[in-house]
Amino acid sequence: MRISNQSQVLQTKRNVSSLQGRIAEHQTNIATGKRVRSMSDDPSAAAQAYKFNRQLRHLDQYSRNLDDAKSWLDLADQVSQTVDDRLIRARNLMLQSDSGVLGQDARSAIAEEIRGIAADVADSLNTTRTGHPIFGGTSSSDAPFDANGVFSGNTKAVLRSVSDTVQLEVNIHGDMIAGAYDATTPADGNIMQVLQAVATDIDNGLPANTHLARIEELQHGVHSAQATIGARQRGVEGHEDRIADTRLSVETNRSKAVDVDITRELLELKATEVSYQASIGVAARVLSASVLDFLR
Amino acid sequence: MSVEGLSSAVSGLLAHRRRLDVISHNVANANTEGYSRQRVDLTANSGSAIGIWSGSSSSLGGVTIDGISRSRDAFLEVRSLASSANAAELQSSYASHLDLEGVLAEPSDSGVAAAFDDLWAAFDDVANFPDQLPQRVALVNSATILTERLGEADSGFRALHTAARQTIEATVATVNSLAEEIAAINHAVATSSGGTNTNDLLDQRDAAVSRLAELTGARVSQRDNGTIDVYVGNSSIVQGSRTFELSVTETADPGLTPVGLQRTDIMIGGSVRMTSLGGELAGHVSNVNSAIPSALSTLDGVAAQLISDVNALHATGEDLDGNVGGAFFSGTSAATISVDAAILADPRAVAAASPGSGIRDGEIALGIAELRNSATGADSLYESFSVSLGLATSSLQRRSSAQSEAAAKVDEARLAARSVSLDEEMVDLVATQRAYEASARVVSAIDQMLDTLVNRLGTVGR
Repeated sequence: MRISNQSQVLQTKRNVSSLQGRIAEHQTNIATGKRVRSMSDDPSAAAQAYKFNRQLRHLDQYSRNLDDAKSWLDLADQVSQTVDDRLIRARNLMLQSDSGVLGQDARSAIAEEIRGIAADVADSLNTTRTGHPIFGGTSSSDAPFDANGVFSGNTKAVLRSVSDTVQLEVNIHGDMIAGAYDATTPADGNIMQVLQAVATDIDNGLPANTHLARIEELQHGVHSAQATIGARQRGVEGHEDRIADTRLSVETNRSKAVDVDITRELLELKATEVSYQASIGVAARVLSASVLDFLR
Repeated sequence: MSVEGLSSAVSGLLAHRRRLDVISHNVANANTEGYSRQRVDLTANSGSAIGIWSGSSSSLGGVTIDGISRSRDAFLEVRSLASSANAAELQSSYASHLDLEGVLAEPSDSGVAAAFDDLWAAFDDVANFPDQLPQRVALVNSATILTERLGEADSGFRALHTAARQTIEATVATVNSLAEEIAAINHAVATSSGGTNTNDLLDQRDAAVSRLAELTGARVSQRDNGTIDVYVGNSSIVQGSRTFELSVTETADPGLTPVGLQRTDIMIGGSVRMTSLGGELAGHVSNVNSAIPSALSTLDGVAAQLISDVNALHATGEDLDGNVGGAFFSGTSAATISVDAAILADPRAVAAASPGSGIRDGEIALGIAELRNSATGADSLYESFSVSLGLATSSLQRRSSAQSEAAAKVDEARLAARSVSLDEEMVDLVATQRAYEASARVVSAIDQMLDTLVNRLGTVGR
């Protein structure tokens, strides 16, 4: 094949600029730390990265939802503890009123305290989290329980998404912790109703021990609500671990798909640099040689 | 040995002086683009027995200049036209796909995909705090950002369309002026008298043809009188010294009406639509007629899916004031989608609750947030759009770089065949110089002999 000056120059320019292009590519890879910067760089790796990015953003939201569920359950746990404490106090007062050594004034004082406990329990059960009464379901009512035990909330589940498929129920229904409202026989009703009935009986000089069985049932109710809350708290912890593990593996996979292997990149850069230097060195010698140097 | 020998030596002097001229022309144009090196074609005169008696000088040996020819490889010239046209077409398609992909700029943390996820997250937050206003305001904000992102992608695609249309206009203008130039050179070549050297004009015409091939995929057919006809597809755009002007028209097309565009066609002679274009122009035309409109319509599909999915669920909900949910998004396409005016005016109108469940219910908002997992949802459509755009771009990139490589090889070979090698010219220069010197020596030798003949002969006894 015939070689002319123009074709020689053109070929040199083309080779040198292709090497420069490769050096620039390595430079960008190293500077950004990313091997894949747009969909067309490596479509299958980029598609994976796209999915991984989405998954990470979803995990962010799930973990926020989970934090919210956790604080909701912690609050419910505290409130149920308070209710339990108040019930123990009420039970002690009932036993005290039946001891037979108390005068009418003392009995009235006990009845008054029990009414106070009923109000306290109603108050605790109306505890809100950012304005949302935690035992009121989803109802619009700001205080679902009144001191007489009338419930104006609903039993709808409050749900938090914690994964693509799982929605955790975070609320305990009002009647699950307080017992069911009974309009006809208040003595078989919820905590507030029973405590009001107890107070009335004590005021009227009747024995309070007839209500002890119901009070114990109500205490069982509170304990089983606490057990449910505890189980859900453990569930939340499980989801927290799962999210942390998933995040780690997704991040690792994303990094494998799109991140630069620095060592390899640097070695390749070095190799490209060597051939670049060699090629411009050779070009300089070849292009400057001419028969003119040898003609007299 | 006679006077005829003198004339043959003179023909040698003239021929080599001519060669020197041509060598100097070649050396001067060693770096001129499109120049093809020239050669003086010499033929030896054959002596004939009759000539000796008839006294015709030309028949008694010596050298004749047949002409000055360009050295080029016709096969490589034709291959170069075809391969550079292919490379230019793929290159322009690749560049336009790269632009489309640049508009979406995925994967990123600030593109449409991220805005989708922010919207679902904001719905989740509203579901977590259905009766709280700040979360609703944040939701309206996220939704507005998503509609803006979609609108930006739409207008980004449309800007590319406008730019590509302008490129087509400019390219067609260039094609027309190149055709004029070729026709003018054809005219000059056809009318030149026999002795004129048209080589440099022909080089100019070759350059114009190469450029035309890159732009349109033009082919050439040679005529006997040295002129050429230029074809694009099956229409001829230059015939001898006539040209047929190209123009750009727009016509309504049912396929493009939904995205508000018209089909762009290249017409020849004002009325005939050109069907088989090549080169850059073909790349640009397919870009404005298919690649960009299809990107626009896919994006509209994404927006429409988002509007219908979210609105369908939202309509089953109840807002903070107990009213049934209206539309969440209004509009029909990526360009027109926006958050509904009622919700923009008052975020209380976001229907997060299922009817009758109270203001603290977030079931509907939770349901909308779950759309993120829908396999047929808007963001799945968007994902497959952006992935398939990436695949198309990367396959064009591979094809284009392979074709460019091939075209570069052909071009290199073509250039090697036609351009000047200085070393070669220098060696020729030395040889020509020597031949010139030798011819001069012959002249002086004959001169001396004639001197002997004229002045010394017959002087016996003088």
